[in-house]
Amino acid sequence: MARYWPVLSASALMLAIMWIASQSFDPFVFPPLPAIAAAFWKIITTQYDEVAVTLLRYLVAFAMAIFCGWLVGLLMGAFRQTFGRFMQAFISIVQAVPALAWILFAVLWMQSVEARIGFVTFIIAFPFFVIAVYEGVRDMDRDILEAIEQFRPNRMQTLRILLLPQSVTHLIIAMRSTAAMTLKLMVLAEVLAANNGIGRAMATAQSNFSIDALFAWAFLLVLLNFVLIRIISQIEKRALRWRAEAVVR
Amino acid sequence: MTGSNTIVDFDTVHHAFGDNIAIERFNFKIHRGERVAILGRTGAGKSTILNLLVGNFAPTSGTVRIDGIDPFVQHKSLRGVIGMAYQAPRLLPWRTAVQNVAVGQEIAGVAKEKREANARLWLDKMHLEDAYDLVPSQLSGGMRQRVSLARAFAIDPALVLLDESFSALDEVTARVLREDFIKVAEEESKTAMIVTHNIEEAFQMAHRVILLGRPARILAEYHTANEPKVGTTEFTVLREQIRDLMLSPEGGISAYD
Ligand SMILES: Nc1ncnc2c1ncn2[C@@H]1O[C@H](COP(=O)(O)OP(=O)(O)OP(=O)(O)O)[C@@H](O)[C@H]1O
Ligand SMILES: [Mg+2]
Repeated sequence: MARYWPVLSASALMLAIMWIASQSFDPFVFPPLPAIAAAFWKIITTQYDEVAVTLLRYLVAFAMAIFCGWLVGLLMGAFRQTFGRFMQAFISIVQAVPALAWILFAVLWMQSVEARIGFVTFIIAFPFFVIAVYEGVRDMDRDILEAIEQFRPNRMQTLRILLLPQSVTHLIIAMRSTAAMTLKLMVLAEVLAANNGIGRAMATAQSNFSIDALFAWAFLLVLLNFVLIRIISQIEKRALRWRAEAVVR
Repeated sequence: MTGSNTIVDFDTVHHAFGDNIAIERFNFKIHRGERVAILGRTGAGKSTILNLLVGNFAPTSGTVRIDGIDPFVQHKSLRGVIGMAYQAPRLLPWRTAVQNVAVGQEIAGVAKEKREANARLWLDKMHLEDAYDLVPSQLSGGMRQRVSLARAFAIDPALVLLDESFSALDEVTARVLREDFIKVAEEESKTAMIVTHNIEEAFQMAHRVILLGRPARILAEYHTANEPKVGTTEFTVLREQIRDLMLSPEGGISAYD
């Protein structure tokens, strides 16, 4: 229990602020807590399909970004002077484009909702994985490489023994910093470019002035965010058990 | 080739980096089962000798042979011939001790079960029977270096190379590890070349000590069986002589001091 006191007290403070706000404002501006709770119950019992749609989209697009980022990052590492340098410049341009611009472009360019949301999610997450893998390969410990090369491996063996595990490590670390941000931006994309999913449901709630539903959706996103971070830290703990920090904990 | 009694053979090897002569008219042999220490100050050419041995580059002139193989020209044929340990353990941090030790045989294509059984055997010899499944971050510095030595031994190489393998350890740990290394090397009658700047270490570990001047040429050669034992007063005298020799102009006035 002692471990959880910061989370519990912070949540309590948040609830207290919300309660005071709901007492001080009109219910149309800030609904009372029981109304939010009721709305939350309603969305998870009747609109779970919207949640499922969003989560499924997220999983597919995020997995694609990881896989492609990994592949491209490895290729960049293999052809560092040519492809590596070119892609680095290219990615830095892609990353400089605001997420909002990608969303608007996607609406213009694509008819299919899935294509739009998938594209936006992918284009936001992909650069992070490319760069993480590339840097992981590039900054590989030369001494360890030499210690492995003393056994005269062929290129495939070096890849399997050294580069793949090294790059997976960097992928997982990149996942931690990207996962939550990507989910939030994806919901934003749904608000602007989809006809279903959590983002769309929030937009509908807002245009219907269902302020309690809006709060409930926001609360659900907060929960999803925590669950996501929890899952990733579990993956990290398992896959990166060998790291000193993970062992001490 | 394998029948020959000579494992390492440097024949009038000369090597220069541009104008900088690193090795001069170097003749040197190591026989099967022999442990030879290469002792020299910084810049004496120790690393150059190691690089020539593992075939990282070819000598400017002269020939280098390991078990009859030209390490530079027949680079791949040297697979399984040399096992090397360095100053740092250089282990794969995500692999367990067993998996780290097995990596040489893994590259050689030995089946998983077989190579891991072999790895456990070598970990046993290095007194790490309780550490099979621990990763490097769970091991002490001395234990990691043991894993690194086991990895070098595990391919059953014709030649074991140690490059300052004990210099990063504290003296007590280093002493125990040297003794364990000697014991295993004796039991398996392994040929070894030990590169070090530590005079005691050289005399304690090797049958023969080669003292290098700069550029690498042999200043003196000692058969340790004929010299006083490490720890005796006579040895202290010898050590002072060697130190003077290393510090003399022939020993190597170098830009790095
Ligand atoms: N790649 C290189 N390019 C130019 N000169 C080199 C190179 N490698 C070594 N040398 C020179 O060759 C000589 C021998 O160097 P080497 O690295 O073999 O010495 P060492 O005995 O290993 O020294 P240390 O104990 O400091 O490691 C030195 O004069 C060094 O400057
Ligand atoms: Mg050196």
